[in-house]
Amino acid sequence: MKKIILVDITIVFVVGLSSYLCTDNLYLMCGVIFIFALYLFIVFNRMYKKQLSNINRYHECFNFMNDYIVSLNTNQSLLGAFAAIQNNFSKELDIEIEGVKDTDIIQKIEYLQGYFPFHVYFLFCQIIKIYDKQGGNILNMSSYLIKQARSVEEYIDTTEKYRSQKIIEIIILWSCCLLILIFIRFGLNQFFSTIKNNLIYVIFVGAFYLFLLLFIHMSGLVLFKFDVRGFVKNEKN
Amino acid sequence: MKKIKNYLESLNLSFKKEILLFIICNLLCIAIVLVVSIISKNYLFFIVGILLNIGINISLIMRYSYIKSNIIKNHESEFVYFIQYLEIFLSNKYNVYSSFLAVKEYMSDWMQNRIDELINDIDKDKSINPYINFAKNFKAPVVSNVMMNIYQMVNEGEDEMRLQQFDLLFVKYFENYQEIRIDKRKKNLDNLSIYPLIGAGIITIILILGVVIIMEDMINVL
Repeated sequence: MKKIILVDITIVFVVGLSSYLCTDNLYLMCGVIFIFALYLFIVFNRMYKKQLSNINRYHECFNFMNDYIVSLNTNQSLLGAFAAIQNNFSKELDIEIEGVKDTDIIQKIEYLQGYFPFHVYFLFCQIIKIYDKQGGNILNMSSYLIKQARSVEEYIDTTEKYRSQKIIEIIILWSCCLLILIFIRFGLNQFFSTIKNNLIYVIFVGAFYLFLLLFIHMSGLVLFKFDVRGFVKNEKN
Repeated sequence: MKKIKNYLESLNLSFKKEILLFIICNLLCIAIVLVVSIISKNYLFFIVGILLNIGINISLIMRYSYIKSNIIKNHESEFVYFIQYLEIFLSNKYNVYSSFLAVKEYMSDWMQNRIDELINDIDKDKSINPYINFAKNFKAPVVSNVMMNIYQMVNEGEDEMRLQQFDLLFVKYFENYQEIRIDKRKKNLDNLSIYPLIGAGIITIILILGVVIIMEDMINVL
């Protein structure tokens, strides 16, 4: 979370400074800083935090299911298998389990549907219930489920890597754009001193920063899109 | 008008909201053009405004074909999940009929309705027809093959060999679907690179504007 705040402060500083350098207009600079800061700290951070939480939660869900199935195959007891993997739980999962520590194992696993709101986890609960009633080879019973969950893991990993590359590319392209804008002041001094007080020039520069803000919002929607099927607040996703 | 209303409803869009969207976009465009023309006292902006207005209306209309193709793609992906979840239940000794019922809760409303239709048809007709009719809801030809395979399982039993055959048939389709899904995500990320170019275009306009302002001042001085 600290990383994203640092990124936000850097973006606000860069756009604020560049807006002042290319217009010499304090009002525009203050307006740009205010709007960007408001948007980044309230909206953008929330999008980023939600996506990070979803991805980490899915990885945790996959590891939990995998570990439990392997442990169950060895232990042959639902409760024993759960106890064996409890050391691997994250702090948040431990807190979640704490609320239902006195219930039976099936209820505990079902209770985690709120913590792991993914279809694969709901299907995992169904398989555990079937195993509890009928027994059998848990590895065979869950093979298709784990195969499906693993394919989603691979999808997330592949797209995350590509996303990181894209972010670097976008930062470089926008930096070049801002450098061109700042060049007007330092490279075309006389030109700049003639146009800087013209209202239409200031409006167009303001429009450029508005476009940049729109881009940041649209890129946030694309970069932080989390498309793993699940139930969000009891509705299908 | 009724045709347009039916078309919009088939795309899960509200007729009233779409009309409102058109009206708001057109009014906004006209208002901006009027304000800019009056402030700059240059009525060339009117012509630019008319062209911009036409462009906005064309893009609003063109988005319907994009929405339609998206709906078709969503249906295809629904089928992939339907089969994946079906496999999970079939491999756990559920029969085909109970698997359909079990999978239903994980599907979208549209898919749930299709599954309901399938189950109702199966209750009335024990032939392959309900499965073929279900497959007609999807464009991909492999869907028919998969549904015929499911019908064979119903007729001849859901044993291990049948399930493996079914899985073999489906696995290629799924791998292809996964590749398309990853490519689509990469394409969406690639499209973000266009925006800095548009930003550079705006900067070019700013520079041209600056030159025009200077030339205007020079002409005024002369």
